[in-house]
Amino acid sequence: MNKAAIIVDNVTFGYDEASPILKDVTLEIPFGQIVAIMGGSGSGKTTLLRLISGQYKAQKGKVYVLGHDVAKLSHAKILELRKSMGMLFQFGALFTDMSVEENVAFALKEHTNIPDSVIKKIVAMKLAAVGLFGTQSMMPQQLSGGMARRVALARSIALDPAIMLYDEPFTGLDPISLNVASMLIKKLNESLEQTSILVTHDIETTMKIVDHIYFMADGKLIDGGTPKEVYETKDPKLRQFMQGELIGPYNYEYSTKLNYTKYLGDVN
Amino acid sequence: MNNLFGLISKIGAPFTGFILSLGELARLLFNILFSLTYPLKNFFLLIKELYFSGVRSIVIIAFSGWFVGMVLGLQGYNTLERFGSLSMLGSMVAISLLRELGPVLTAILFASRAGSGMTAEIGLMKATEQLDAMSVMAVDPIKRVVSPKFLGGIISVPLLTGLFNVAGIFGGYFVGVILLRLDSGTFWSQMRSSVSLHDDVINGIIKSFIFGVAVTLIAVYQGFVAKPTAEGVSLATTRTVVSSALIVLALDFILTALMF
Amino acid sequence: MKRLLIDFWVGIFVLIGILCLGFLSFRVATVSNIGSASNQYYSLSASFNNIGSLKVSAPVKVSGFIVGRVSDIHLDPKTYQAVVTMEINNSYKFSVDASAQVLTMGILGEQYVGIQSGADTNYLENGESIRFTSSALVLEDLIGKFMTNLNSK
Repeated sequence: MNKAAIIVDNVTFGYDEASPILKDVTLEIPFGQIVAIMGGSGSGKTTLLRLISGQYKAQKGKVYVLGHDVAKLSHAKILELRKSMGMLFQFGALFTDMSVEENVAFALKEHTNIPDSVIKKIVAMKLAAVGLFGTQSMMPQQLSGGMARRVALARSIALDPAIMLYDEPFTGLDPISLNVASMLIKKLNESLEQTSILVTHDIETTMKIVDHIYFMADGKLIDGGTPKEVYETKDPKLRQFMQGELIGPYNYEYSTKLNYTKYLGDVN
Repeated sequence: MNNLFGLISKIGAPFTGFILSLGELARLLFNILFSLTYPLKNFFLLIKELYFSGVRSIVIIAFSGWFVGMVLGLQGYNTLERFGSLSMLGSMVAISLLRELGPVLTAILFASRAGSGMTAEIGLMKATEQLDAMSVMAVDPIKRVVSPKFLGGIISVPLLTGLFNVAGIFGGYFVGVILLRLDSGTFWSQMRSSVSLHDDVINGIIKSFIFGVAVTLIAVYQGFVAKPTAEGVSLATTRTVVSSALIVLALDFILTALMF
Repeated sequence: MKRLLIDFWVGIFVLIGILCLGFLSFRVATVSNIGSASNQYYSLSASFNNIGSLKVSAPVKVSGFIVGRVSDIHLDPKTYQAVVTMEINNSYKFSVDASAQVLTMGILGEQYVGIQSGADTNYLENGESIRFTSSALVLEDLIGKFMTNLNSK
């Protein structure tokens, strides 16, 4: 059980039983890797992240994080486990009524008895790690999108988590911020010896930093392999996603089961 | 047969929905009660909430109380004059305020002034994933965000009710004694002899406390169940005000029947 | 700085609130009800032929001064008289020949029990009853008497 940081074993999940969002998903992430999960919007990527962080419980199958079966943990134990997990949300999700410093210090103040003067120093270090030293007294509204994302990153690494979950960290960033963000993820993963999962659409940027890529479509997971393998793949499903083609094995129209004759009426 | 089944289900749906939300409300209340030690340990969070829900409501509450008192004074003057018992004006104003108008109007004003704000804040925090971020950082949003608001609300409402009542009594005094030239001594002494501490003042405070619990609970609940969209949050704030008003009035009837 | 300011305003708010509640408790209300424990009161009863519309918690007055309240009213099944139980403040004692009467404040006002003390040196104890009573004036009876007087003249 200890060979992988995260094991997702045959998981099925849906908000209602009739239409599952994830179908028999199996996934294994070894320690120290950066893994990307890619796929179209609504394919269940974010849901998978929430299963790993214990916000949802799988209806079928098991999720192991750092050797713990998430579904079997009590609420208190899940909270304990989450202290070793960091999560970066799509738009940062900074607390809007707190300054940058208070945001980054939040988890430290809640979970530790470290004196305020030391917390100040830790916060400064974390902000320096994302290149934003000096913004301590600013409010989230004063930050640009890219800066807010980096502050949120500093906040999520405040407790030096073993696992980082990134929910679409590259969405809506300009090319420079994009590069900065991807470099940061890579750097943090190495310096803090983390295991990271990236949920993203951004193929170009992701390819540069990850060790392994999975693709999701219609709630099913396809193993893409390493970035090199993905580039050279002959699999028509992956090719379609990589090239962004409209026509292929996956139909991007809403429903294939539309009965047109119902709308057109019986011609005879 | 299938149609009949569907029809009966449609009649049942709002009732099961109502009972379900009652259950959620009770669960939320329990969770909040169990985390009430948190704002006591982190006192500044409570102070902040008292500032937002209490201090910022002082002006609207004092003004409303003053005007309600003046209206009571005028109406009471006209009515009591017909029966030649103008000396009772003071006690009439005080008793109407202490027993009913003070607690009820304060609770409704509080719901629209502070309750809607609580709903909007929690709803927006949910919509921008701040609540998710918090729980991923292993901090329970009910502890950190909701329980200080709840405690702040139930402390503020009785204090504001006291303010409303005093402002109202002076409003009545202003109309009765200063404008309509009744005797000031009679006004106060009649009031003192007919208002009882237990029946009127303490029961009124108990009422306002219960209203405070109801209104803040509704406000935070609506924030939690709001759809995470702009429209969802605005709908939720409206629902907070409307259902607070309805519940306060209904509770008022039940409490009056039990108390007096 | 900001925190101090918020503390200051919240302090003001709480002070205003407590002052208001104190004002209501001590300036607007009478505090006499605060300890309606039995040790401060003793009870007397009196039977009346007619109590009019006397109600529980109506005042008991001596020379217009409130000395207690009516605590219970029930009907004696044998004599068909109304038995009124009163709680009287401990500091007021009445002689055994005191008399009680159901009176009305103003012409259509509330009814109350008036007690007139007698001359005896023995005092009524807790639970004893006042023997001399006179009933409430009922307007219909009064009018009836007035009419018969008119007719007989």
